[in-house]
Amino acid sequence: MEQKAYIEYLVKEYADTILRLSYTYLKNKADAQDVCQTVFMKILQKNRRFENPSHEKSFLLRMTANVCKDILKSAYHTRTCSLENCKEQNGTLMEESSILWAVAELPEKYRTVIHLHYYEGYKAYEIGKILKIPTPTVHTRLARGRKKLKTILGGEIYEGNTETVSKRNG
Amino acid sequence: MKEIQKLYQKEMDKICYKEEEKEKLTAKLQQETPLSKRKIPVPKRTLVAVAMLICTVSACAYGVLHTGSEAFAPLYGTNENILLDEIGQPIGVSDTDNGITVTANAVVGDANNVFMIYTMEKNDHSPIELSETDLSSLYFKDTDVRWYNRNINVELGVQNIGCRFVQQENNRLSFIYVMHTQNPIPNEKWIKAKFTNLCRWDAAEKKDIPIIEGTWTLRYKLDYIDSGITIPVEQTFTKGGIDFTVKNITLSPIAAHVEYTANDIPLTWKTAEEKEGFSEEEIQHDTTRFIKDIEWFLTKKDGTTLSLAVEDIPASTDKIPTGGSHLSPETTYSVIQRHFGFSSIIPLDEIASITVGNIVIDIP
Repeated sequence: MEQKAYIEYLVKEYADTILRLSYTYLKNKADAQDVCQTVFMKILQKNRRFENPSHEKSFLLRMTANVCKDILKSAYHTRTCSLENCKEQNGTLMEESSILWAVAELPEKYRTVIHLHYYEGYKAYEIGKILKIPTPTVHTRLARGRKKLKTILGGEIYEGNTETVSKRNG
Repeated sequence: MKEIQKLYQKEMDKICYKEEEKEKLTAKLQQETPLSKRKIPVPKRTLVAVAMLICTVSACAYGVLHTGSEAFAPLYGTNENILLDEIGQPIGVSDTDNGITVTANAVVGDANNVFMIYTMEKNDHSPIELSETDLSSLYFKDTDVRWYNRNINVELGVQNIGCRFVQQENNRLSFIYVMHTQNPIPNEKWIKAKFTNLCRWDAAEKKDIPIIEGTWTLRYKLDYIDSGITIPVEQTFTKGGIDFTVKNITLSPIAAHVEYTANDIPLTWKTAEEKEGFSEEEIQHDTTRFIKDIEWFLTKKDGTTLSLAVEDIPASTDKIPTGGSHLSPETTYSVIQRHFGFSSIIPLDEIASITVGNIVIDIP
């Protein structure tokens, strides 16, 4: 595939996927868009070949996770970008009552596995491969993440009264 | 959990690129990503011909494939300079908004300094109307130059940073982005440079006068030849009863940088907050004894000298040189860093020595 067609293919197939995972890490769409571009540039430079689309997608997700972790470790984020500040500075997309906000309140290690499992539909062993962590760890993080989410949303809402959540969204 | 999952999926679906954002991203990637090996193999001879054609077309499209001396002519003058051709690296990345194209032309730098030169031009090549010719009053309302996602200012301990307009010629405005840093600048980093709304400062009215509205975002690799040398010194001199140790100097054809310590003498203030509590006179006391009283100059092999003190920069200078200094408080001593950008390219083999206090450091 020639370069131009490959770029179009990457953007069409994966831009949103990468954006969403980055957003899960960084809680900010502008930063997530920068990550998306960085990941694409890296993949284009590496000129890597994949066994199949599934392999390609999981590779891109792993690369995205690594880029996001680097950003979170950087001096800029650790020194200046608390959640509260991010909300203020970037006019966050998250309403404080939304389910996105609730997931964003989770520690990073929980919200990532929750996103990959409940949004991308990956199984625990697949998440383990993407994030390079053991499968039992993924299970533990999913369980603890769910438990914490329950606490954040409140028991009744978690048990299925989504109307309450929707109202809070509205 | 299933209901929550559905709700999460529904809300997360809203986090997506708009079609026009995807088109812009695609265009950016095509523009900025070097051609990879993902190509059908073709005979070498054909490749050379195609490469030459691409170079020619690109040069016509952007007009940016300058030599170092051509690109930096607005800053250092129009004389051909072989050294500048060697150390100046072309960039050639543009962004267009509101009928105006901003192009990053070239970069030159050393371990502690980066000068990037840009041009700003209307797409129809008509002149950019300025009500007055004083380029020093021009500035961007917002300038944000950083590595991707990382704050360059924080990580490098930037001492002096910013844009300055240096020339209006051939219907084109040239400006430079100057960066002096405390810590060595890592090479081969991707830069994201964003310039928003060109303005003019009306000194009489004390307000911004908008000239051109727009946002220009350029992404490119900061890849230049470190044109300087760093010389460890570790020599001590005494001035005003204080022992100073010169730690090192960095010298290149574009700038000089020195680091020395005031031994056993901590700064009056330890933190920025603490500094607020001191009077201007008290703060000046440190500046005087640690910086102004310490001579710093360059001696050329022809015997001429050039003061590297900020105070000696002519007030009329509106381009390079720029200079500055930084005091870092430590518990039992103080660290002083000073820098100076030259108004012209000075080959290192024309420099005999750098003097700091009464320490003369010979340049090999």
